[in-house]
Amino acid sequence: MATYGFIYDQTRCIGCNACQMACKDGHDLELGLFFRRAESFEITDENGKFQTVHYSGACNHCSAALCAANCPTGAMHKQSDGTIAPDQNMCIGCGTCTWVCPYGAPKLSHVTGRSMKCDACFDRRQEGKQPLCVEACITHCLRFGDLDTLTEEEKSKYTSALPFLPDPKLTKPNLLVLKKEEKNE
Amino acid sequence: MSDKYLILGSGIAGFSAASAIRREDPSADITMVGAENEKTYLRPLLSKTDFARFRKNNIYAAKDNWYEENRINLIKGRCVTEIDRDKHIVKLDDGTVRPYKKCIYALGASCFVPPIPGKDKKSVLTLRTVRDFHNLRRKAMTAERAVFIGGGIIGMEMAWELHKMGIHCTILEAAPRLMARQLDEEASERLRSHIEGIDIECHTGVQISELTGEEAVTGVRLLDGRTFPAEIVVLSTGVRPVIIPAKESGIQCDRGVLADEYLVTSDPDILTAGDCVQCSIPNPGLWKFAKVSGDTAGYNAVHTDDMRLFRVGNFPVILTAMGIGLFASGSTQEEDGIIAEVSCFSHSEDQNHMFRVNHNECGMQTYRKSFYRDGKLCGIVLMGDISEMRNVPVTF
Repeated sequence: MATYGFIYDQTRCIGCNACQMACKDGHDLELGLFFRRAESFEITDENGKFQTVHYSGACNHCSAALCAANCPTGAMHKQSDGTIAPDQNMCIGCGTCTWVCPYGAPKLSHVTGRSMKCDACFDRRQEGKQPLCVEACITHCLRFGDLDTLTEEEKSKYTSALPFLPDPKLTKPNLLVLKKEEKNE
Repeated sequence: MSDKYLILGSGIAGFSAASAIRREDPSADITMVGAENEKTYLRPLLSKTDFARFRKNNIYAAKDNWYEENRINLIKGRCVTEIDRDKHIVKLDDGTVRPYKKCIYALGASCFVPPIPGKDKKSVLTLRTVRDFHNLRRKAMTAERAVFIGGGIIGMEMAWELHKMGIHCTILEAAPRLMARQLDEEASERLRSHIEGIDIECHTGVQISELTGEEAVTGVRLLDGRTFPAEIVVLSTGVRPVIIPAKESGIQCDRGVLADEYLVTSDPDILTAGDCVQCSIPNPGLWKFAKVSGDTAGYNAVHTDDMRLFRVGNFPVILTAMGIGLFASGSTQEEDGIIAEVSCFSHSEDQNHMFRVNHNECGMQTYRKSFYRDGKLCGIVLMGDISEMRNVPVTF
């Protein structure tokens, strides 16, 4: 089975929020509900260097997904392409997935009472299209695809460990980030 | 000729049984009988959806065409009046007779209404069915004060919902503390002080004398003379398994319908599933138990020579209401031989994960109480931010 995930180039991201808005608009999400969020962080590292970075994050369709492992009804499941989504007919809205996901990806809808999350635009991909966030990205810093097609050398340029994200060992996220390096002064 | 399977009950246990039978026997003739005038719906959503945004169409377990595609004959709004085990037939309240080869008894449970004087007055409500939900929502439109008798999960979820609508809520609990079965004294006291902190009144160890009012209820009077005026009284005092049709037909029953580890009752052609089951695994009346038992009963009804044992993991209690999360799993009572360890931490210490946004309300502090027997973790209670439940083992 292919391992699908997002590839995100932090060096090119300008934090414009187009991905977030395209996702929210395209899925017609209710007030306060986001599948993808873009945020800007001001980080000071151990050497006292100060840096502003942007990050656009959604569900990472983790290999060891805690949302799916803890779901008491089996509604949250791995789909045929390896991405993870809740089965709307089985979810009882207990909220377990919203608590256990360290990235805060699943959300409880106030309209349906059930869990909702990014499925990397499953329906669009069936039609051969890209997810909405990828299509909307004006700097082309966001991609979605089969991570298994990348060589080890290509993969080695990327990381999924960022200082403001949870430890990747926790869920083995299928996320590759080209990290913004510190500026040499 | 295809085998006839009759499923009594159209709740999630019956629905899972029907799905399992269809999966295992594509040619089976499946009939499902439900007392409610609804298709199978996800009952927990009744107390978890926003009152104002609730839409009945959102809560069904499957679309209309699922029943057609799977050739499942659903009879709605009919009660079972008699099970004739010798003739292998079931009689319904409209006089029709349904034959069966294998029958799955999944009539579930009904709300227990304690024998309080005045319990039949108007605006004394329970919450179990879609109809109950609509009644409660309609009354809540004009009410200013509500009293909840019983401080369990449903009572708390509903109290929180009504509280958010601006209705003054009071919870009355007969036991000495809230959620006595799930929480120990200290955790329960903590929950209580949190609830009182958000202006929901809470009284435990109370004895109710009567529900006052002429035609409609106007309040609750306690034995000690205190009264709580209310336009709505909600009884959430637990459920009782529906066993009468089974008992009258001679199937062995106790509190529920007695079943072996394969969910077969004292009649080998009748299996049971859902809230009405009484077997070696204590029935918590929770969704997971009903769903898994339905699936197992359906499988075993088809594969009579190669039955599957009914196995289901532990049942953690998860409550996301009152502005906090609450998680309890395993043995959570302080007894002899159990050592408890308490820790409290505030969320500001958790600065590391800046991107992680938990949209659940979880208060400022998280409380954790771990219970150890012989040095081994045997239970845990989390209150506040309960995301740590991801580290709790599935079985103790």
